[in-house]
Amino acid sequence: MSTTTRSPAHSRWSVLATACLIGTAMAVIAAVNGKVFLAVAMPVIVIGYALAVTFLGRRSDIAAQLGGREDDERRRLINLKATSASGAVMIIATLAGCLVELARGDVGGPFTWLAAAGGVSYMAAAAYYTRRG
Amino acid sequence: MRNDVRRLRTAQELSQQALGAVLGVSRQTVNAIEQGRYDPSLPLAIRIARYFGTTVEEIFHVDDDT
Repeated sequence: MSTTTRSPAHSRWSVLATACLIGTAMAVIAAVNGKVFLAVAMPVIVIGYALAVTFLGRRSDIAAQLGGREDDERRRLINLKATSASGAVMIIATLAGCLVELARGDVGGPFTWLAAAGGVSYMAAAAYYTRRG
Repeated sequence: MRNDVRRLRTAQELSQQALGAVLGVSRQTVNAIEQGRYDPSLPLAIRIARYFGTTVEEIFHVDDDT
């Protein structure tokens, strides 16, 4: 009957650790391509964001949510709703891109494949959760 | 859904943080439940009821128009 899963400490630091990895990778890639400004700016933005949501999470509900602290069932539900909302936006954008591709006669373009992947993964997930409950 | 969580909590002179710690949820979630902005799951509602030594029906009241 438990409504908690991941430990708060684990989820608290995982976002910061992930941001550090991504920020470092961005810096290296930008530096290799000779883009010094981006090599500095991108990790500052990414790691700064992660630091903010990690250390403000104890006081701010929104920061805790953005910091991946799914301490309880309400935050997990908010995460599901937010993911669903952003997924709906992505579906609309993908379908719009798919229609543009079709109008241009570019059948089988990236948006077509994205739409197909989205549709198949939705059907698979719906079937899975229908059986799992 | 209306509920009596705030009344029961304050009667025991508990903070939202303390009640959240007992129930395994955040302070903000306790506040959201008290404000009626979030309806807890059945397991959490039962934990709340057990903690206060009463039943779910005594704490949570379904609004007539819902």
